Amino acid sequence: MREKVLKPYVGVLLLVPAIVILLIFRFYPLLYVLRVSFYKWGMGGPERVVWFKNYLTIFRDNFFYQALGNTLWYVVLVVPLSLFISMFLAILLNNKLRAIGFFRTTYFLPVVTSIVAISIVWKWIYHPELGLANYLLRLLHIPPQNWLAEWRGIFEIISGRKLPVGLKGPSLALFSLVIMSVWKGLGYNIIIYLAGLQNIPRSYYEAALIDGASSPTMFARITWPMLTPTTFYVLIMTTITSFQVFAPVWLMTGPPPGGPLGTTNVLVYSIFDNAFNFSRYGYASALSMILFLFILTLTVIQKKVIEPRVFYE
Amino acid sequence: MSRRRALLVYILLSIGMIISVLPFYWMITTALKTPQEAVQFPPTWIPHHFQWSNFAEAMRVAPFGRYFLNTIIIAVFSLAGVLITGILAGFSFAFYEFKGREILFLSFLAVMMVPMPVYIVPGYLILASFGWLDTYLALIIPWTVNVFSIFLLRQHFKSIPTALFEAAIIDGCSPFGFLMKIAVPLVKPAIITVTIFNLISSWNSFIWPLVMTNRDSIRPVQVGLAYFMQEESTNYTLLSAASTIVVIPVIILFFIFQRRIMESYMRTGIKE
Amino acid sequence: MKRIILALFIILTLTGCKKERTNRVVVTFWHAMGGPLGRALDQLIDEFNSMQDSIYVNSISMGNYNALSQKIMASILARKTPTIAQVYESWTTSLARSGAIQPVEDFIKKDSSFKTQLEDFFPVFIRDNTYDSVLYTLPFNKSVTAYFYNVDMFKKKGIDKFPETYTELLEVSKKLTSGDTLATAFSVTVGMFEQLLYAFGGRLLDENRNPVFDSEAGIKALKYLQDMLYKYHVAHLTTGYQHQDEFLAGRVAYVMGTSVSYAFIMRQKPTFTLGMAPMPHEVRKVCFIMGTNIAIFRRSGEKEKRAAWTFIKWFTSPEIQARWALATGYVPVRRSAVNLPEVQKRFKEVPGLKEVWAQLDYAITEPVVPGWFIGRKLLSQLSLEPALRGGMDVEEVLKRGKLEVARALKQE
Repeated sequence: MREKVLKPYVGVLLLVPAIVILLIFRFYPLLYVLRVSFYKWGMGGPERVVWFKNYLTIFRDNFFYQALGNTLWYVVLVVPLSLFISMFLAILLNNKLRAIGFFRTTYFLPVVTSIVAISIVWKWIYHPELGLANYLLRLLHIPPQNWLAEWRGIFEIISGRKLPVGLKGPSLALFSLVIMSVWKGLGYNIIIYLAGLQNIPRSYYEAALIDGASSPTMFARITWPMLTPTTFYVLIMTTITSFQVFAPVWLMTGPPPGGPLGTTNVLVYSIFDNAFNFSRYGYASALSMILFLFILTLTVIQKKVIEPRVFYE
Repeated sequence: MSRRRALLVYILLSIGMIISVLPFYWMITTALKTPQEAVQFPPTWIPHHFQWSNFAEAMRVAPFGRYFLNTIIIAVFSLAGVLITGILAGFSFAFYEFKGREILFLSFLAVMMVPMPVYIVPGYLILASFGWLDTYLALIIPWTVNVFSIFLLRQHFKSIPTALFEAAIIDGCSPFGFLMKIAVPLVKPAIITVTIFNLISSWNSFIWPLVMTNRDSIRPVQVGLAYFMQEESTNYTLLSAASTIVVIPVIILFFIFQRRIMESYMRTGIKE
Repeated sequence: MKRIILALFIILTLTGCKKERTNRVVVTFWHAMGGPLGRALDQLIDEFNSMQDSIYVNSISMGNYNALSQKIMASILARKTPTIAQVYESWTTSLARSGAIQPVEDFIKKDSSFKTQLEDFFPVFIRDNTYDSVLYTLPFNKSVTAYFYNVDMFKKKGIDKFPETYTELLEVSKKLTSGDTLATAFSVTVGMFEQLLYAFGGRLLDENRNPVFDSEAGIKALKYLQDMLYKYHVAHLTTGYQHQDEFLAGRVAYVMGTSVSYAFIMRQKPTFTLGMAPMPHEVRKVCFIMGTNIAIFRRSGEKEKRAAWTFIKWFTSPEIQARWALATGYVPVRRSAVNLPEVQKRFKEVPGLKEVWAQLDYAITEPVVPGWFIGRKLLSQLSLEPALRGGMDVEEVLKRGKLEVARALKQE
């Protein structure tokens, strides 16, 4: 048997630094959070084991359902908006025109900019009296809005009538955050779509043109179907990141944050609030586990089902 | 493409561009206005008088210099960690075969699937038990490994033929020597990508330092800016000036390394 | 050259050694007092340290209460707790249940002489420090609520003393409001609400820990505040301590504060005569106690804990309490301290002080119940904020608050 030139133990040795850090700071915390979720754990440390009581409490807690509902609304609004707008812009950018790279760069600018700075600017834009948003509304002869302080649902505001509880829709405050997030994330989804578009052979379009196809037809028959894998990818990725929204809520809403009337309270904010404002570490850990399971499911779907079809690495 | 089409494309893209850039424009112009002009309605699009002093004032009211220093320390040390662990691990995965390599690889993959917010509570409690809260340690050490960087480097290392490595070993070169003298220079593009990406991530990081720090003197720049926002909530010109200062380094970096940055985002799938 | 350095080194170490309390038992004391209050504390601690040589109390300020609570929490997890620390009642329940602190009752049991001294403590403080029928902590820096008013502004409108009932207060407020000046300003705080709630005959929780603040009295109390803002326009809302700034600037005629606020306001050199008055009553006389207590950590060594107990006994003795109170504005925790000559002298110098301290006879504290600090946050978020900032219906928001607070308390 030929002895290996590259000794295996060296390979293992090279991995040790990474493994140590990952064990301590990526694997161990998962076990730890699971353990804490079974405790009543306050500022003084673990008080007593309560097994699944924290989870039961969560499932009976109105605040949890409010946070869950808000998060779902957030995701349901951000994902399609971001998806379609970025797809549209990517198609536009997929032309060999002069200075097209310049446009692509400017769309990506919000993606690299810190969420804190962006929240400051947008909070200013949303200012009820002095903000750009109401200024633009005024130009369009639409009455000014309270934006981040508005707890009324958007459907109710648009229809102008009082609607029953289920149909009110997410608050305008939450929707304001949606708009900002879509704006911030566009550039990222655009370049994903660009990659997807560039994988569509030109010959398809050329053949279609020869057959006399119009633009809408080409889109419906060629572009959209060929983009399906990319669309799924963007869908899952945007869903996963949207589920984790936190910073805009902490920075832009309230007092107290999560307001007005809790209509911008989202899952991750709830975890933060319970842990660091209420010192309910056990409860917050249980919430973290629930969030983990949600996202893990989504991630597994993405990695196992979608990604192999999109990237041929 | 017909001229009419091209024009249409340009117009639509320009509208989109204006929407993308408008908030930035708004931020910079507000930063240059006087407080009185900033609260004028209807708002002015170009400041009547460029008040550059707002920037100096912002840096005086809050210790942004200190915040920058903290961020740089954290960024440099965690980057060092990421590069060291990333190069070693990427190299190992690319060239070495050993029992359990697949499992190890899969578990690294698994780590990527855990969303960051799940780590906040246990991270806080664990780091508290280490006594690391409110120190640089809590902000640096957990971030000295970045799995995406490991994978990127592995990929690039794989483009080097194993035979080359084996030949070098036979010729008496040590593995480490091969790594540093031959392999690493060959993957320079990947190293640059990893560097830029991690520097930007460090600069923009917010949640983790928010939770792990309490003292003002150890806060990195985004957390400092966030508390500044709470304290000066109605001083829009000052806030805009501070935001501009905080945002400029990344924007400069972005304009220089556009391609690389967009590529790295595409591969790693990270959004802050 | 080397020898000179060596010599210098030895000399410096020796001189340094002199300051080392090498044979003393060290008591680490974590607190959050800074500024003039911190200085007053350190002065007393220095005195304790220099008047004997067996104990050294190491006073460490964390700057603010948030930092203090985080440090305490981290120290428990890191197993490196201080000997004693300043704690809020809300922290005490968690600290007690996790076994991190050792009840002072343990020390009192072994110290029979102290039992009689306990009776000299104002009863409200004994209740405040008792959790689950065990006396866990002893009071440290306590204050009573009081009203501060601009005597000149009052005189100008022909009012020569601060009203004694809330009904009177409303009438007086209407007189005080004219033009740009409002009678008062306040931030949305549970403290504000509970004073009125109890004064109108209501309570926060009943004996079985059920929230009952949505009673008639509660509705009246919250409506009173809401009307001040939106119906009679005699007050406006602020955040944080803004209302005190406005009072100092002469924009409002009176604000609620605590006995500590007096020194704070005086330090800002107000341009008007400052008046201080006890809380008005309505159906019932009531006043709330604020402040923190002192706790002993279980993990400390026996010697350290005994030394800490000696320090605590000294600090809570009548003479020291009198000096502590007069230097800071906190109230003494011992009844007999009030009769000491220097206190009587101060009563003559500062009008209103005697009456404000006299509230200690009927003062109460917020419920010492696990989870109450979550409950009070919910009360503020769900009932007080919507009613006072959003103008929503008082009965509705109190009902909602009650449901959520009940649920939160049950979880604990």
